[in-house]
Amino acid sequence: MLELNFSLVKNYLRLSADISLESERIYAVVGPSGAGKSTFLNILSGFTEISNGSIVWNKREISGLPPSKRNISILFQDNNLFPHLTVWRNLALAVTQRPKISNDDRSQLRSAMSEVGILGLENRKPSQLSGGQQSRAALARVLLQKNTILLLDEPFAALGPSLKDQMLELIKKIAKNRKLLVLMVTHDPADAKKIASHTIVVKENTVHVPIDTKEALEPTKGPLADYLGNN
Amino acid sequence: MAQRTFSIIANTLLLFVVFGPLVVLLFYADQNLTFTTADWAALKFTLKQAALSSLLSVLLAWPLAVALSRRHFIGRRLLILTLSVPFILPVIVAVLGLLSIFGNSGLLNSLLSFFGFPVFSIYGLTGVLLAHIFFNIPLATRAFLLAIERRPAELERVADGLNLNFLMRFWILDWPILRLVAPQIFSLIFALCLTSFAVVLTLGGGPKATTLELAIYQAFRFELDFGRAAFLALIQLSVATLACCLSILVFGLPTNFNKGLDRPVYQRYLSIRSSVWDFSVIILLGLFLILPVISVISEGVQHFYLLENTIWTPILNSINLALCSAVISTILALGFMSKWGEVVGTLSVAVSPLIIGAGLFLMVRNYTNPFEITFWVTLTVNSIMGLPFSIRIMRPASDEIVSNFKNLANALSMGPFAWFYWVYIPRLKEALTYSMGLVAALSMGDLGVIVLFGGADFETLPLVIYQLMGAYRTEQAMASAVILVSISIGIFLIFDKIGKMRNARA
Repeated sequence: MLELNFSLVKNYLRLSADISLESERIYAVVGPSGAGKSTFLNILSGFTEISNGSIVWNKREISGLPPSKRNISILFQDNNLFPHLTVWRNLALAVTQRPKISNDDRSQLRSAMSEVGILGLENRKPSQLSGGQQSRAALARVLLQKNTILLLDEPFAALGPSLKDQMLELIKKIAKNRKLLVLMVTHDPADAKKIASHTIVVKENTVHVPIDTKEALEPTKGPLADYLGNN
Repeated sequence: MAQRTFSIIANTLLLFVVFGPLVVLLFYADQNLTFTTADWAALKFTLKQAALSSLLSVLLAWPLAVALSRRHFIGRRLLILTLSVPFILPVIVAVLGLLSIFGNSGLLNSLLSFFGFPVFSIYGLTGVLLAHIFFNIPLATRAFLLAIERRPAELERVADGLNLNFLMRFWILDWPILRLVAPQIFSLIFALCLTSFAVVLTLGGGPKATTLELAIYQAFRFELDFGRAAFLALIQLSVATLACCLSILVFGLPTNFNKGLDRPVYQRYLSIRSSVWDFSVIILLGLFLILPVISVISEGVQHFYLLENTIWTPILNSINLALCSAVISTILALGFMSKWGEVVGTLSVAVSPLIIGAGLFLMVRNYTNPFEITFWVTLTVNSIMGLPFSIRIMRPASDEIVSNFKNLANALSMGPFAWFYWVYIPRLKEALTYSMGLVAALSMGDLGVIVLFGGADFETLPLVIYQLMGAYRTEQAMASAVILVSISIGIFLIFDKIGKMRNARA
């Protein structure tokens, strides 16, 4: 259970929330541009500090902790991999930051790579991968961090429809196997419907209580009717 | 945190080394200092030549950089490397080369008089400007090229897709880079020309073409008037400080170009008219930059037989000096990777190297024989002189690394050591080695502070050449110059090669 009760007032950033999220569930995060979706993820992952309130994960207060101590992994929109390092080293950095990689770590790396389907690409640099392979490698990196909350900040926005669907399926499968809580920011209602039973609407500087995805994305009467622009 | 500590140490060190000598010199200062007419003339000439030099350099370098960035011809890579030559060329050698082309009995004047045109004189403002442009076009071109190549290739494709006309294309693609880079280059060249010494000494001089730097040298060397030298240095420092602060604070707006994933520059279809223009620019400026060098080398090579065995010690001294100052300057520069750092680092250019050297000389002379530590004084001054280059070369790359990868590194909970080892240094490698190569080459050919202190105990190769020229042994000087140039360029190329090598770590 992730219980959020906070507000943020900093320069032009304003955001408040009073919600709680189930573990082992996938939530879509939807809302107009500039409403605070990315800020919301930054607050959770610890890149932005809240002004007051609390973030409680399984009865443990995590606001104020550095990003690495929060049990949260995040996939950014871009720059998820270091371009000068091979896929293997990119993934290894999630496990160890020493040059030498232990045998235990090696087998972990291999299983994560096979889980996302990129075995055999160890020695490639990110620029030598296709868009889909890059996403998979980034996902493997996140899995190796072994956190139970996964934040996705539109990492698949640049992928084509069928590749994106594959990635969504993969996320769904992995979330289930690993019992993850997933929050996925998306601009595409179809993505939300495919993967998330519940949707968090972020608008007017407020993170709203999650509601059923179909209800949230109802194009004429739902809370996002303006944004989805059906007229 | 570790980075912050290092930054504070580096800043303190610099301020101590730069301002310590000034304070010492002021201590020696005369109380009744006045601003004479000659000083006014020197100040005016200093500003005028610096402004014109930097303006012309930037204006000529931009079309050259654009042409080089969009033309892929055989020898392009070689040409870009060759364009580095004038800047790292020892000043005295370059002046010799320019004289052999533009001098009274040079190639150009021979041609002019052959066709019955009046001969022109290079001495004075013309010569100073020619030499300064010669030295600074390559610097500006390389900086522009780096910035253009850093621009995501996707942007050009978008512009092509929109079928933009010439003006819109310039506005969308080029102007953001120009606005970002040109003021920085302008202010750097301006500061360099403010303290330019050997050029003005050889091509300027006289009441009409004397700079503050030359006046400082004369006060120090001929009049032994340390107070007057310090007084002039303070004026120069104020002018340069003002100029640098203005240009960085007013123009130096940061624009963040997101780099893609190391894709090659996109080559697009270009009209014939633009081809003619591009290749004219490349050929004309190329000749201007290359001919003087070829002239010196062809003269020098013919007189190799005049070289003596005693030249080995100065050669080794110079190499030692060059490598040490390259490493010190580059490491020190890592402590100045901020806007404030860039301002402070640039200011060190404004302080005349002669003044720093002279101040250090006076500081230590109560404790030891200054002539025995000529190496250390020269090393210190050369490292400080290299610092602004190191900072300017590395800062854009450094900023980009931080803005692109700091979040990812935090998400991976990297400590400062892991960040340096895996991300910062490998991503910065090309800029890092470029900085080292450049500072090493500059230091190798430097003929500044060494003129004041160098003697029989410690000689560098440029000093030896200078002495040979003074003794009218021009052929021997030319031959030594060829050796000096080869080593300077050799060191530079080795570093460039290291920087371009693929990363071994995986």
